[in-house]
Amino acid sequence: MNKALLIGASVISVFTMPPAVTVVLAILSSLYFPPTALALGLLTDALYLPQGAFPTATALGAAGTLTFIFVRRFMKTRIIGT
Amino acid sequence: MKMRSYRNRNALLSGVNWQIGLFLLLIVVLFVALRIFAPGLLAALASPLWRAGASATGAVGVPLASLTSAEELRLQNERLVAERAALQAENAVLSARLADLSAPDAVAEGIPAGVLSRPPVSPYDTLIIALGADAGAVAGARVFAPGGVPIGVVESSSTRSARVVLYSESGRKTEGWVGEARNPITLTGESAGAFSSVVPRESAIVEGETVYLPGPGALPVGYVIRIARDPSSPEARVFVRPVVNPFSLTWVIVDAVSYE
Repeated sequence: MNKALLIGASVISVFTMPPAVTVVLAILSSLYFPPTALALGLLTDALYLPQGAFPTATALGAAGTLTFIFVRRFMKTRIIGT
Repeated sequence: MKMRSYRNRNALLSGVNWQIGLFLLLIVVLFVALRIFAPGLLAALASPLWRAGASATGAVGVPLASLTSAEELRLQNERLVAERAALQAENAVLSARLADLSAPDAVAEGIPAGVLSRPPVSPYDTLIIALGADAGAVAGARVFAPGGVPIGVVESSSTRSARVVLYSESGRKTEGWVGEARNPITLTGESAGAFSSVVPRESAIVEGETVYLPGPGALPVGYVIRIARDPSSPEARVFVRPVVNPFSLTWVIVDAVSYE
């Protein structure tokens, strides 16, 4: 339930909050579900990116998703290992 | 009897990761398809959220303002500062027009439009306005802030909304002039309304001069706040503060003529 709320808040923040807040929420929700970062990046660029500009939000989202996939894998390994 | 498995196990290709990969592929395809084939649909879906966000921003602090006189004074001060900025911008525009003796009413004939999303909520220095192509917000149409200050152009539009790219978009080049002598200058967008420019070190530009963009006459967009000169370089860097703060724009005027 909390995870769904966090992901929902992240999505709404794209429309209502400055990017810094969205980034923090994206990081928190990506800890639970890594694709959230890429989805938020794509949503941001679909809404605001001017033609010809570099899709920074998507690139950051993709990097964040990859990072959190590895982070989750590492955390699971550590938990099993201990 | 205990069975031993010799199957190689790849930690990165587990069942869960395949599901995540499939989900990623789906959302990428969905957003790319929406952006290419139905850009208006996304804006239409997002409009209620943008409106709710703008309303919430305006409403924050109002209940608290009735409780404390300090908060009331702060809000009043904010309102007066915004009014003063708009009047200052209008005065600069009128002064420029008077100096150029050009068509004084050319900008006033634009269409007013509410701002749904503005920096810092929208990155890339873009505005989303509640005026669509049907109402005159066609691609290439110039957009002015209250007071007649040029701020950007309509980049794309759907039936009920349009995306405006500000002149201050990072890296965007715009030709303009500086000061009463109208020294030509190439402005480079620095985001958040600010500009910079590289000029010859011996340039006659001084701090405090007004920076203009071409329009109906010369229209002021900012003031030179600093000139960075390096004795070892033949060039100087000029920093320009905008006349209008894009973070506080609540409505704009769209010129119904496209220059594309």
